[in-house]
Amino acid sequence: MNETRPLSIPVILGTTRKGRMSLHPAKLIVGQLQKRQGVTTELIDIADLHLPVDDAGEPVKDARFSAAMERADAIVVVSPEYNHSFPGLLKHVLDSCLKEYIHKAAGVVGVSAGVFGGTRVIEHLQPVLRELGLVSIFWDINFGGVEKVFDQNGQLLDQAYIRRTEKFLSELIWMARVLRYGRENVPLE
Amino acid sequence: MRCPNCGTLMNRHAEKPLKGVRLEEPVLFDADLDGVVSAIHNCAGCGKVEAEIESLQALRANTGIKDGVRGI
Repeated sequence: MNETRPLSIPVILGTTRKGRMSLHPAKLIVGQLQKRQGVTTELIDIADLHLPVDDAGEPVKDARFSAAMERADAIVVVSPEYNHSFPGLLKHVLDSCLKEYIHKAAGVVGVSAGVFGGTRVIEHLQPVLRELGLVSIFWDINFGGVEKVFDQNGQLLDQAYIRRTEKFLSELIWMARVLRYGRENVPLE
Repeated sequence: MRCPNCGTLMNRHAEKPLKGVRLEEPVLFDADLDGVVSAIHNCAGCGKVEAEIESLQALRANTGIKDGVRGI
């Protein structure tokens, strides 16, 4: 395996709403990834992509997003839970690519104001990730009561999330390394 | 850990927090991770898979407790 090429693990911020609290968990994940040796990351804010909404797939594909997904070995999706599911625009963005995702790892971070911490949005995303060819890991992060986890400036108030994030990222990186080895070395029979 | 089947040194490749496990020793419960963390090992020699609660192993070593876990 080419271990000299760093793993690329972008973090997708899956909401465009004003005042979105999901920005804080996304920045936390990016910061923790930046501390990892052999990993590069970036924050991809779907609000910056401005995809047309009158078509889907190739016709609306954003070249920078497509390139980032092609470069990626794993992705982190940070999604708030809106009415028990994911934001429609997040789905629209994810649907704009396909071949770029195949046999790459995915981890989901759920965000909610309530006590369930985005559990339902994480579950709802699983069949979507699978259909896109992504391999979902079994660690999640649930940011429940997010307005108490971060202050308005994005300062983390609950340090337990550091350990949860580290466990989540360790599993994601393991899966990313294994899948990269497979993509580059194991032929389909 | 060594494989109980063939003695090969096993590869510790994952951790999994077990939810809803009832414990005699609440010290094993990791509040940050909301569960009891189990390490998963795989044997390259024979393929055996083992799950290990490392904190339980440490507790047993330190206290002589034989079995403190139910429901796994």
